Amino acid sequence: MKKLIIIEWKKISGHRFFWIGTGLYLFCMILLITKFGSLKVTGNQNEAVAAFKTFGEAGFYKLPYIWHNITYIGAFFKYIPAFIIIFFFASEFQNKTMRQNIIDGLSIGQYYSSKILGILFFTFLSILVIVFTGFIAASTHNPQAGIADYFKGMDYLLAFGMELLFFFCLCVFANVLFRKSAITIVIIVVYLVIESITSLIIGKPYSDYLPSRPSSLLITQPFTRMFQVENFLGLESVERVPLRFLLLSLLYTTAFAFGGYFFLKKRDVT
Amino acid sequence: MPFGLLTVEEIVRINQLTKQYSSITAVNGLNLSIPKGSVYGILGPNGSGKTTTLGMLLGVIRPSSGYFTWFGKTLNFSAKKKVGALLETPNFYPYLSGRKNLEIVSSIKEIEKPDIDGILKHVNLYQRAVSKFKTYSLGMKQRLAIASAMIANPEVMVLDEPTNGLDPEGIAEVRAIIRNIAAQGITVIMASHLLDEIEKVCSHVAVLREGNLLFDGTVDQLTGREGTIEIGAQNIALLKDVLQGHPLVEKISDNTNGTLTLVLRKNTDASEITRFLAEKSIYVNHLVFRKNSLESQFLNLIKNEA
Repeated sequence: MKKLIIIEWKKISGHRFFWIGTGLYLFCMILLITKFGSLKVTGNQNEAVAAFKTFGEAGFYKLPYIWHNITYIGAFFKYIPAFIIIFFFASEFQNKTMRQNIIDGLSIGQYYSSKILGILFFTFLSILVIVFTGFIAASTHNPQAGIADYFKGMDYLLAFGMELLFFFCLCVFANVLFRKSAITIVIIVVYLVIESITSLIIGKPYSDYLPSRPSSLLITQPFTRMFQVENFLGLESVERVPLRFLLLSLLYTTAFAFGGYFFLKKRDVT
Repeated sequence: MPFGLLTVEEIVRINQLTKQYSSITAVNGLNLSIPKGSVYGILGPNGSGKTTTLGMLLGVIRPSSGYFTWFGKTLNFSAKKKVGALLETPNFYPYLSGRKNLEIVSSIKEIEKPDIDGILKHVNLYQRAVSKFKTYSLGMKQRLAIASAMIANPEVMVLDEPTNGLDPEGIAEVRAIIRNIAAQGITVIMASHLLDEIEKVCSHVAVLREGNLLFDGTVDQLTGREGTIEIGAQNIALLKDVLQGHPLVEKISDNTNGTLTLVLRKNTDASEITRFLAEKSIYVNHLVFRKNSLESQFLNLIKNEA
């Protein structure tokens, strides 16, 4: 395990794109989360909340809702680490370094595990940054909050991690099948479009069971709730992450992760 | 193992190894035994199944049927650790330096304290150790590949067309390194389509064509199977006349320089011929024994099979 981490780290840390890409990802995520509060509220809002000029005033950073709000925003940027993951994975097919790794001594399982460790790295890094940013934002906007208040609604962090993990595993699975980064990305985009169309056709509740749906249903769009009178009056209770979708996401994530391994092992390493 | 029994240790045993692609049989029921300490050449034209064979041996191509063993066992990590190998082109991370690339290989092979500097000096790359791999010339890439294969002090090195695409200087450098490796007692398994390379470097050879094994054995066995004699005497016409009746002579042809070329039957000693001629009072003034070159043998093999 330690060996695989060291190997993977040596591979990705030596490339400028890893630092630039990861830096850009974290910067965008932190910037949008910290600045989102000062964004102006536009559009037709309900009379009761018309007094709010910005999202900050509308309670974007209010505990415990902050975790729901910022994980929703943070997940916008998952495409950046996904691209980094595909870029490095595809380049190993391209440069035949995967084959050389296998010749040099790794088993296909070990090699694939090192890629999964890379995925976990990006997932945990993202959660860590969200937690860190969330704590700082929450403490400046909720001065009277006690420690316990911070932990309410933290299940959204789990949901956030799950959403990322699912998406990364989908990318790796597609990458195993299609090898080249450009083709992989196109296929994923096409797939997601087809899936949305399918979900419109078959409708709820069946559409919830399509592979990428559960993970996208984990963190619902928080703004409607934000501008509801109940929220404004502090009457609404904290929404929980739907456990059913969490488990379904986990199921699909595992399926893609093992599916990738299956196809990688089945084929010749060329 | 009892003393006095000449048993050669086997590095690789290949048994009925076959690789079938949808319509092509790349390797067909291959049986080989590669002895320890040999420089084993796998010779064949492009597309004869050399790389496929090595790919299967190295665990990256799944055999359709048959099996092989390394050091008497199936291919596992401890066997991979004892084998330094490169397949086709040198495969490295283009954005990393030569040294960083070797560090990754060392981590994979779990080498505690790899002598990366020493090995880089050995292949004459020390000066460029910190340059990115993609800036290397083809010869440097090939040398880094050899360095990478040597990093774990392997017992066996597998090289696939190690001089392919190099300029004469690069070819000479790489061959010198290979001979040096073989001199250290390391078994070398080498694929090549260059006869001359196999003849210069190898002790054993397996000849493949379209996935079939045409010959395997020592290079001497292959080249020494038949030979020719270039012979001359005062009276060429008489010489030719006398030799025509000799049972060991298969064929006689005239050379432009006034000598004859004899093709002898298998395992004939040239002294047989001179003794025979002396008895007939013909004294030879020109005698050259030529072993068949690998090239002519190889072409013969391929022709016979076709």
